[in-house]
Amino acid sequence: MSWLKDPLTGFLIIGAVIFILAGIVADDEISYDVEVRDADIKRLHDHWSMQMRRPPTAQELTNLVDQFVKDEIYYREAQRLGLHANDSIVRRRMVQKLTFLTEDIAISTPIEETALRAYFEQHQDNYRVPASFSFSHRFFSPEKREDAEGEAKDALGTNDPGDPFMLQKQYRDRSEQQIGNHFGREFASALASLEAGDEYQGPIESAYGWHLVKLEKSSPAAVPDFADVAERVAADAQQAARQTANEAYYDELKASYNVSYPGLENTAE
Amino acid sequence: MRFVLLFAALLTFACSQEPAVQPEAEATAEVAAAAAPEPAIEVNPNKNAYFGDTHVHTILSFDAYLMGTRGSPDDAYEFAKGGAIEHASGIKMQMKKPLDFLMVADHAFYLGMMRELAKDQGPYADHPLGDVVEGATSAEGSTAAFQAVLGHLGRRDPNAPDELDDRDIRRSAWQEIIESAERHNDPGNFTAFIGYEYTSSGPGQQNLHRNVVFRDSNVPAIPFSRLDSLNPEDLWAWMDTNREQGIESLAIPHNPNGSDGWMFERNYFQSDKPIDAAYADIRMRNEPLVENSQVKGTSDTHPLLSPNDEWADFELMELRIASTLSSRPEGSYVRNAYLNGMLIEQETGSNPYKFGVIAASDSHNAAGSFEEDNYWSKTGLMDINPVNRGSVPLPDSDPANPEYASGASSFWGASGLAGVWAESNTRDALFDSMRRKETFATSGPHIRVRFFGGQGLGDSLEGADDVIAAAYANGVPMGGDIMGSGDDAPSFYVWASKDPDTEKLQRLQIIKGWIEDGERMEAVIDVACSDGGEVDPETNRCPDNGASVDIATCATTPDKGANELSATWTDPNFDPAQNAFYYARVLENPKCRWSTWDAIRAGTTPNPNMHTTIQDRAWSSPIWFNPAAPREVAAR
Repeated sequence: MSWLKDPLTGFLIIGAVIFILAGIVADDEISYDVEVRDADIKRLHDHWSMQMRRPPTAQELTNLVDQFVKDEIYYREAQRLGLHANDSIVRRRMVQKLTFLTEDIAISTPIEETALRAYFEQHQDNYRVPASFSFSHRFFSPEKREDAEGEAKDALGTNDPGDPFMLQKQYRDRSEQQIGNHFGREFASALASLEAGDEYQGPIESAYGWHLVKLEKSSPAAVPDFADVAERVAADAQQAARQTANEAYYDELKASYNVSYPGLENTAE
Repeated sequence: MRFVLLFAALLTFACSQEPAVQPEAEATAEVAAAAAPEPAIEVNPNKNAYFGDTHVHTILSFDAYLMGTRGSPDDAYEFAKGGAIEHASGIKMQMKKPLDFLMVADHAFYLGMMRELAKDQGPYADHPLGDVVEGATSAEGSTAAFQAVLGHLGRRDPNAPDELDDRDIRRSAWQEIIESAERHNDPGNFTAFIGYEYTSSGPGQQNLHRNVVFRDSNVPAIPFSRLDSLNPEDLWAWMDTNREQGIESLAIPHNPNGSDGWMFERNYFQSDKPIDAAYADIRMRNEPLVENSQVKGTSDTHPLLSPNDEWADFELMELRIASTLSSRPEGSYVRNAYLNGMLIEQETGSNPYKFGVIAASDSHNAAGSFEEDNYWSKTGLMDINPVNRGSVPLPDSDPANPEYASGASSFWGASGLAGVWAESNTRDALFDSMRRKETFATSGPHIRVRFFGGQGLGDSLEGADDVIAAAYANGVPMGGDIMGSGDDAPSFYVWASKDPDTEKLQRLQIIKGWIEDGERMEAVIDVACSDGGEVDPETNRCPDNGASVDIATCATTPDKGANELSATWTDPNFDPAQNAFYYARVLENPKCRWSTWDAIRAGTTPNPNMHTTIQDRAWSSPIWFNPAAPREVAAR
């Protein structure tokens, strides 16, 4: 039954069904026969019970059925009068229903692992883990020193601990983005360009002042193993498939319509 | 990981003859580092400032849904982690930098219900409100739907069943919130709290809203809502009952500014019975914090209550919530409540208003709006157009004499954030800090502020290797109590640093409140100035640092302000027999307010009825001085 798994075939079938249904309504007269079947009565009964948390009494059920008949007659009369045309709520509901129908088809079948792996290969950039940095630093405050930059320079190679600092003195495995959030973007980009080593380097300026930095570890950006991100890949591939299917369906529909913009042409003249 | 923690706890217990409380966190981190392949949670015994928002509404709140918001709890957490999500109008919302923690706080009543009403199928497909709910796709449609649902709420008979109060739907929405928080909680990196909003008010829209924060994933089956009781005292009783069953929570009142004096009353709820020790006890057990700033205004203080505070006129919102009625200041502001709390303490021996502060967004867009130049207000489709929030003239008004929309949104602002000092970014560590009030609030920026106090603290910090470790060892942090001993004046160590992405700092202040001969007294004292300024000892004020804003371009004066400000300050007017509170306030240099950015982008001049600039700021929780011998006994 592989044809059932192909979204496009699904759309074509739905399209055919809708076409036939639409044809029936359009061709036949709207009927004057109202049939209240057992299934209708059971549905009314169950619906009422669900809302009110008890079954309806005989009188209540009679009222429900009467209301159903009245609704049905009004509904047909409204159709006969063409009241469904140009009604934004009716229009929105119908558009929604069609959208849901098409989306359901696209997500009904799981994508096989070989296809997921291929998707992963093609979209590696989306899964790349950014470069990360582990570092210690010593802070030299321009609010506490005349020449914080000069004094930081002089402190290279000494044990001068520098000034108290509001944030941590040591960070582990932070991305350039995360370091930028705390210290300012320029500091983060300067730190990211340092070579890792055992010695303090700098000084580098942050949003707060001057820092001597010991970059203990610098790990380059890397693409994780498929297994580590398989769940995310599956969700993304599913979403991509849904989008492709929706676009294809819309393109197909659109091809059979002539869309024109008479208003725009008039203003252009 | 659970095994490792258990092992660490056993190890600590077995090896130590001392109580295992203090060293547990460090020992856990070390053992975990050695044994687990995954990285251990970083622990800083001197604590880090973590920024977050405990007040975000999503699609599950009845009003957010009607405002067009379709952002889910998952979307709210994605946004908090730095992601971009869509506003109801389709614009992209993203912050300059992520938050450290977040709580989705949807209204408990009608939780998840509007989404049901809008469905084509299911038990509510034919509900009479269905069409108006579905029609909420524009500012007008949203307003109509909001009025219709509030109308339903107002007309409901409390003794008859309300079909919109559907327990099954509330339960399943609550489950969505729980599961989303569990998915996004990432100990050490990001904390997702489980919680909700208890949305009570008085008969005249006197605001009594609270957010309930649960410590962990041990939460009740369904939240306690305004439909259970409008009396906050019943909420506390429910929280107490939960606590007995091991479900730990705290409640955070918000928008006291819109309570018409009801948030910090002198009496029990709707009663003539004065607040007593029993009331103070249950309130403080359940409400250690208050939101002092958010999108719907700042509740620190009001110019009528603090006539000598030049910075009191800050982001005021003087209406009761969801109404156009005015709200009286007395009993509606935090500083006033601290003073009244000490008066009540003199009479009853217990202070019901000894709370700390945080700020939050109260966004109904699933995404808080904290940046003046990146503002999307609060109520979805209702105020995304600057015309609807009063910053840009009505389109059909005379340009020479512009008229502005005067809806509630025109009194709102880009605020605020919760700051929490904690050892690590985990639910336990953050919650415990919130309970002991080691918290601060900001009006949006990531400003950090440290605040310690103690008798003789200043001397003990002189020449300390690690000033923070010494301050913890010899004083109490924000939210703490100094228990009076001897006549030494208390001294305070205060230290603030700027947000690297916003303005520099202008001045650092300490605000003191005390009771003198039954009178409520307060003083605002500058303790550190930027740009080399010295505090004038007569006026307690810094000189003007000359920072200003060009309203046409929003350019600010370059090279003004400080990256950090710090001071050690000893109270020169100390009376060892007086109750007092002290808290820190730090002001940024001025910058353009959101409304000015709106006007510039629309090519109009700023609304003359709005402040064009803003001095964003941070407030610490107070430190209270408690006399060894209360004044009443000593003096009378």
